[in-house]
Amino acid sequence: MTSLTAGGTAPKSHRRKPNRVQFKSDHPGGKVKYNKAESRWAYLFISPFYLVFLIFGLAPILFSVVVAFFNWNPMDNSHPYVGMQNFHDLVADPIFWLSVRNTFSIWFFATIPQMFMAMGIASILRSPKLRGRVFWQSMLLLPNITSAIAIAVVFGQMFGRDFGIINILLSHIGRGPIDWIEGSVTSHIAIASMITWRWVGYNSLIFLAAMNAISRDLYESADLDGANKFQQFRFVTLPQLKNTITFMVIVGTIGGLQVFAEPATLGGNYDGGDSQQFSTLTLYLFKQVAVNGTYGYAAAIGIGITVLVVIISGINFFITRRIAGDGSK
Amino acid sequence: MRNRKVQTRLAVAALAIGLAMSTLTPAYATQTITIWTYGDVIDTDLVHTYEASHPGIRINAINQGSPAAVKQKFQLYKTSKSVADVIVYETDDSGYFRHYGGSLFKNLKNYPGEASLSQYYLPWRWNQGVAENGNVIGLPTDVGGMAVAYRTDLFKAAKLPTAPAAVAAQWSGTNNVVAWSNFVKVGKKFMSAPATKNNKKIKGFIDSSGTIFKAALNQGTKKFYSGSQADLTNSQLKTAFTIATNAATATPTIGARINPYGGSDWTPGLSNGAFAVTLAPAWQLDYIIHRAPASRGKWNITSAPGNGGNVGGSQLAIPSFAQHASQAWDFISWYESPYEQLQMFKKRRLFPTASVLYDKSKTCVGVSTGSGASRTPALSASDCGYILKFKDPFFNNAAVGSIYAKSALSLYSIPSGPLERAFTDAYQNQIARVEAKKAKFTPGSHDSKDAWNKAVSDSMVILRRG
Amino acid sequence: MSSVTSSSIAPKRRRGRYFRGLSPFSYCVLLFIAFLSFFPFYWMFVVASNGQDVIAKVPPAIVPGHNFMTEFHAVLDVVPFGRTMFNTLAIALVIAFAQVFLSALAGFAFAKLRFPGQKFLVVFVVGTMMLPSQLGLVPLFMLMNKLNWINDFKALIVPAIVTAFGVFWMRQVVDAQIPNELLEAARIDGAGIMRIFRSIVVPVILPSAFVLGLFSFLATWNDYLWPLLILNSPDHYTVQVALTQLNTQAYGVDYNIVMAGSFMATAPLVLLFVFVGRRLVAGVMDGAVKG
Repeated sequence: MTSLTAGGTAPKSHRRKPNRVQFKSDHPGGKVKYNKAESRWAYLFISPFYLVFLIFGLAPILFSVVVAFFNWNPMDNSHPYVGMQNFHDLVADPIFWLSVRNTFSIWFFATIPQMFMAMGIASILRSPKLRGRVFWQSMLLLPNITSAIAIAVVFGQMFGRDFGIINILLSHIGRGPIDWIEGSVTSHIAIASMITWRWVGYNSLIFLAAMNAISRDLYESADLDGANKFQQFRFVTLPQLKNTITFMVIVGTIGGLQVFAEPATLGGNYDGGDSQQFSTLTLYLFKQVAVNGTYGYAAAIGIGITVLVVIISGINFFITRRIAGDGSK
Repeated sequence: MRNRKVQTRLAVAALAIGLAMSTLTPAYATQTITIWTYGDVIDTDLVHTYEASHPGIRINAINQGSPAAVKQKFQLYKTSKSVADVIVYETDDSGYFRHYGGSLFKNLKNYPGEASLSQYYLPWRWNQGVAENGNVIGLPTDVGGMAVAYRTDLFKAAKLPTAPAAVAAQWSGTNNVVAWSNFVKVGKKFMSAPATKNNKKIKGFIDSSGTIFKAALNQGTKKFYSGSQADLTNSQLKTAFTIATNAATATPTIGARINPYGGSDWTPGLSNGAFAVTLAPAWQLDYIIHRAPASRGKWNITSAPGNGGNVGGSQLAIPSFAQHASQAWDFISWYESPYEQLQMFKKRRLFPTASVLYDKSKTCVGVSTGSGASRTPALSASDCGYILKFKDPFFNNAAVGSIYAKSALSLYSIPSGPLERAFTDAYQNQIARVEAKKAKFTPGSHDSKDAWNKAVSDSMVILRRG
Repeated sequence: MSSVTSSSIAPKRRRGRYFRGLSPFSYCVLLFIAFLSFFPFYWMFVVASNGQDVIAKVPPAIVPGHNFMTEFHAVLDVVPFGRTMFNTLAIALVIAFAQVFLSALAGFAFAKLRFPGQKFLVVFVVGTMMLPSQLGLVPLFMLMNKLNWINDFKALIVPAIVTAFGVFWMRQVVDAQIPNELLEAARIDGAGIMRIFRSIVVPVILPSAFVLGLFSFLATWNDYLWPLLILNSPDHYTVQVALTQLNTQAYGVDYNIVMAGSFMATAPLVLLFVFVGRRLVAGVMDGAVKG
């Protein structure tokens, strides 16, 4: 917990009266005595969230997790227990693994470039000399308010093989038409472009807010030491953004691994293309629910997704901490 | 501080509004019949006609977006009192609903007028609404049928005959295999013609050779089931598969790989002459008219290879837990009566399943169904001759009525089961892969990666998983 | 560049810039991004206002046509637009407020308070973010059925007012933006936790809370799977359910009317933005003043 506290200022020692309100900073790390009043308040604060969450968020999912061990057909009244059968099927299912690869590929194309773009845009936006700020920031959020379905239709058109704008532009510069939807990587790029288009503006604003929170003093001292703009960015901005980046990478990973609306609308169904070339994990899961009516298998897929997300998020977390580095100077 | 107070008040107000809204009940007429539908199955004008003559009844048709969405919603609601009064299911799902639907839907045999109604419809389409336990669970809406819509201008340029009879003659054959292989030959001839090669806009002879599989499949007496057992390697299935893969691997390539059902290139392809031919079910004619108005007069319609075919169509069914079942029955039996189906044909070229309107072996004149305000006018002689005489001005006065009539009347009832759609997808996917050159099909091959073998093994997995 | 100025001469807020204003290059980048952001939305309007065959032209029409009013009326025929907008707005606002409020409470508790089981509970929350939401759809529906909340807005609102993401976000925000000294100073002054939360924490995190609220609002606005399952009467429609009514062709998309509907559904949000825009700017730039 303490490792995520920003700033890391040294705690001051205090004499405290028993049962007075205290905060974490009093005892960084080590054995800790809990204060009753503080704990009670804490539980009070988190209880509304947890109550609703347990009933409406967690319970349904736990139910599904249990269902993974059964063959569950909604139209049938028999729900035979099948133990690990669904999981065996999962591991042997080539379309599941294809969906895994597709999901990662889409995630890669959607998250990595977007991170850089968002940071770049935020750097431009943070200048107080910028004019028309409201206009630019509104434009950045415009993609986020258009419905995902409509956008997928529009992008599907733009990426059409024979009549899409993108191929027409390409033909003007001499490149032949690309069958975006049919191909594997190309369809991933098409979907990733939809996702990037939708989120890059929002993410740049998050970066902007985080950048603005960085103390000016740090920049001044960097300046005094003769650091140029890029060095300042690398040694002042980036480390201070460490938490934001980590946060965005984790959220981006979780979101990216759960891409659903775009591939669903691009293909018009839950297949993810003729040869499942853009079938993502959640799409495949939902196909089991909505088309095949095999809830047990769907639940097994859901668990598989969760395991993957946990692993990947963990890896991402550690990598990002390393790259962003600790505050230097 | 002040900000915070304002915000708290706003929040409380918003919450209050929210909760109040959630208890708002709609003010409806006396009875509301809720229908879960998709696409254009429920026509608003027809609905208004019904409502006008039935004061106190209101029809609430909710579009769920797709047949899959309706199916999924029904799965969840099937034992709930909030289930719709009518649900629409697609013919591809008829095996599914017939298998499970015996106890989940009202047996329409128990409703007034059903006995006399059934005789007026295509037997094989009617059967798609009969559950495995014999209950009548759904009334048929339209029948897709199958014909070939072709571009006369492109045919002419490629030195192919353009009159419907002559065109159909090119792909006639003693049996379906011969007929389809002749069809492919015409395609190859078209693609090799100099005019075609010079025309940069043409991407293929047919929009998607994948559509051939479904067309050929529906022409036989077996698809994926023998009786109620899955039969994944039967000879008719293999024949249809072979026909489709032959078309997919013909050289020169005849398929433009433009998907007519959902691809974004199909609509512009229509207007720009990207393909010369499409296997058109009746409901697709309206799409062509609506989406490519400028191509008026450039199309004609003729019979498809083999003995007819079908794509699409639906049934209207009343769930067991429906709260307004008898009113729902009154509506759907009126909506699908021969008279009203004829109106739908006139309006949107949806081809009736009420074969009394075009089957010369049935007595048509004087047929009237329903009672009270739902009684339909007796069919007149001109009503009865309308379809067979109908020529469509958009399609160069093609005898659309008689072509689709013949197509619909030459099909058989085919055993189906709950996994039919999943099986169709499995085989169709392999054919698509063959077309994309990602897989091969060699008859008799033992290679597990061979398209046919893969389709069979994938289907076995589906079967096992249920 | 930094050699041109030193901190004692350059204005406090900006250093080492050659240009007085922002470089033209930066504006070009922004313009490009703005264009890309706007184009699909504009394209929607082009499709909605042209006939279908005009779209099919190669090269495709880039200029709006005259058909928009026809399509506009066609949409209104199918969908009770005004009511739908009102429904969605109300629901989205309620959810946004509730989410922000509950997430702020919980986030603050995790960030600054100490209590047994804390670590576990946080990891638990984050962990649950990793479960795909589609997994819970069917059981959640069964629960709604039991509670008799079918076709009721409560089914949309209640499950949505909690979000693990929101708690995670707020925790991160409180951590980063509230220095412990501030809290300690308040505590020395004798303030209770509730007072501290109200007077210190909330004003500081308000901009970030606003961003979270916006995110939540948009998520509700765009949600289509769940409302489609739950809502069964036209005067309960939300925007996405209403748009689904425009899928009047079973096979393939009737672009004109779908685009017209999407455009009409988005335009009010754009207008809303014009009002909210300043707040957003202020919110995001607030951090700049901090020393």
